[in-house]
Amino acid sequence: MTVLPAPVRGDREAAASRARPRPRVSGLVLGLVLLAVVALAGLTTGSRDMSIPEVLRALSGVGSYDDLYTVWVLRIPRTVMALVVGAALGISGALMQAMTRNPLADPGILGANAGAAFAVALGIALWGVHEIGGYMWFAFGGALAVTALVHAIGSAGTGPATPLRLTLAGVAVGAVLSGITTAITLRDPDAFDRMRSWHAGSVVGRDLDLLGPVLPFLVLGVVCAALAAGPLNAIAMGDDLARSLGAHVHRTRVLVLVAVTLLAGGATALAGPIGFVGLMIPHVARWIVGPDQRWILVHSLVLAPLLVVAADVLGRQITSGELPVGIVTAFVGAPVLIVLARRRRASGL
Amino acid sequence: MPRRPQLTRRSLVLTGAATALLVACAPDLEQAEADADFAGEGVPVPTDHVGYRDVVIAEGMGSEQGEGEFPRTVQHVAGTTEIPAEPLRVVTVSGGQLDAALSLGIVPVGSSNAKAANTVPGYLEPTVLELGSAARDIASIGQRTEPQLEAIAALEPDLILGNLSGLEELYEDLSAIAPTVFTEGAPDNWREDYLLLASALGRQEQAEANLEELAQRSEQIAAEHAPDSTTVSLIRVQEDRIRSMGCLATAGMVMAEIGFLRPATAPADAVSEDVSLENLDQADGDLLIHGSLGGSGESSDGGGGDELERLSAVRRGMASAVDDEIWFQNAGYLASSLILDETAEILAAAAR
Repeated sequence: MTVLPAPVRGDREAAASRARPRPRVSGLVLGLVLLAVVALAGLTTGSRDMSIPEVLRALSGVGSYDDLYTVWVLRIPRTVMALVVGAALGISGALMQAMTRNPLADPGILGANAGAAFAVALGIALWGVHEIGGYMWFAFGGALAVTALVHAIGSAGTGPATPLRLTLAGVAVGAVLSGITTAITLRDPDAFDRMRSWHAGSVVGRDLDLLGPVLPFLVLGVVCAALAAGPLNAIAMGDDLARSLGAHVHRTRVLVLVAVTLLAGGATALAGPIGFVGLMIPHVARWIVGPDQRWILVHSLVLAPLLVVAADVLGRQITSGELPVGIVTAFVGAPVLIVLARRRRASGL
Repeated sequence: MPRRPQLTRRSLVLTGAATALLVACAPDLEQAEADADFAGEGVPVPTDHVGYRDVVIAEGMGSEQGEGEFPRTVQHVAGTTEIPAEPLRVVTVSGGQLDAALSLGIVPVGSSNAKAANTVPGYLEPTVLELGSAARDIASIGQRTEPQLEAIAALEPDLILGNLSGLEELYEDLSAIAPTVFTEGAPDNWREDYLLLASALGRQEQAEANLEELAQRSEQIAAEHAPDSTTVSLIRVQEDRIRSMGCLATAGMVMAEIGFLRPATAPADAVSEDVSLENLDQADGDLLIHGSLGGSGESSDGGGGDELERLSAVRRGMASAVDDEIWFQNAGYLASSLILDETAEILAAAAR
């Protein structure tokens, strides 16, 4: 397939784009360096008083039981979890925005969050599930099932499933399910308490073992994303133009939907609903690299984990206890999104 | 094929490989824990928190009439109330007051429930039966923080008991239904509140005798064990938090009365303090008693996660899962009495 030119939108922007070379590679390198720094911070910060040399010794397997436990059982898993969840959210957000050509699209729009929450509430209320490992399966199953339902509703009737119909179906199904979820949790105070903490979105207390069953789905999701990235550039110019350029519009959409479902469902299964990452990171990526979807995806893959790990690290510092990562991303995300929204020229689609 | 996405796939493979590497590199914690023992230092409870015996009703409160004498006038935290005759239809609105009334031989006609709890908590059911009633005879008046005034009025009570915490604005409304006596309601104040409530019922001496009995049983346990060299950690596991229960929790007061040392994480002047997973080792003790929200204490981990497994008390077999409802959700004489019973059992088992 030929490499497509960046879509052109107005002379002024094209001129600006020519005038300022995009820091694509240098931005990526800087992002990776920052990612390494926050990942290291993820290992060295926490409520336990440990110096950096102590952490390094514990990393090499030397130290007291509690130091080893803190680094290996608590800090490494939550940092790895934040990296994986962030990457999945970033890619699925970028794909959603590209496919729907809507800068406010978010992986949750297809119903992954609502489906996961609904399934977890059912699991708690009907089967008395009370372990993170148990929530994970319900969340993943719910996310996949509800996204499939949204696809089915969106593609019912005549003609193919357009992004608009999918979005409407997702919002409608999501609203119904959230209502039922609220009803369940209000009737069952125990479920309410458990849902409250799941709903905040957190990477704490998840063993790396939980990653095993989800990782293959995430890998598949990333592969689908990679295959869809090129044609998405064409689709960004509109379906008709994309077809005339030789892109397989329908096939690309299916790839994107599969990728978003697997990635958003997997991330929600692992950490609960973490908002703003999938919405905000693609904007930052677009602002850095311009409109090429392939570069946006690669940058989202680096920037989103950067945000989630940083939010997790920040959450350990802010209060005497800990703030769940989902709450920190909302706090960090909202102002950044406002700033980006005001620079519409830079981040618009 | 587009060129760039390969980078994506490569980085993902790298992530997977890194994860596998991490799992493979993890040091063997089982080995590290072999020499671990409770190394911390327990802290004695401040003496002003100790003493079921020294409890007195705040000055100017209570009643001048003698035991069982009616009509009586009761000075309480929200005013002065005349109680014309021995109350037969009592409604308890606030937490711990059902426990208090039952411990004095009175079965209320109505009571409230805590959030996510039954009107009559399971641990009080045997007492209700002993008093010749059944739990269903005690009508629900709604949630503790939002009692239904109409339901209370429908019960035609002759005495309403409440407390200031959360109900302050309802005192006038409740008084319009029936004579109402209010206590303070802070969780650490239950013993003083108990006497004031007993005074309204004309049974203050009985309440004092109950507290005396708790003090004596505590002394007995203290004489048989060595509380001043034993650190007892009380931990409550909730969904997303772990709480080290402090000296002002009901169970904490029982431990203080016996004279146990408490871990550094147990606050001296609060009901509890959250402990992060990373610092959980500081909540270790010679003995660990733990409950979990929603856990009955019957399953081995009380329904909580496996977070506590790293504590030396668990590895030494010195951890006991207990009924969260009795230990950590309720305050009162009957709850304290059961806590003392279970403490004696736990200590006996630990000594074997």
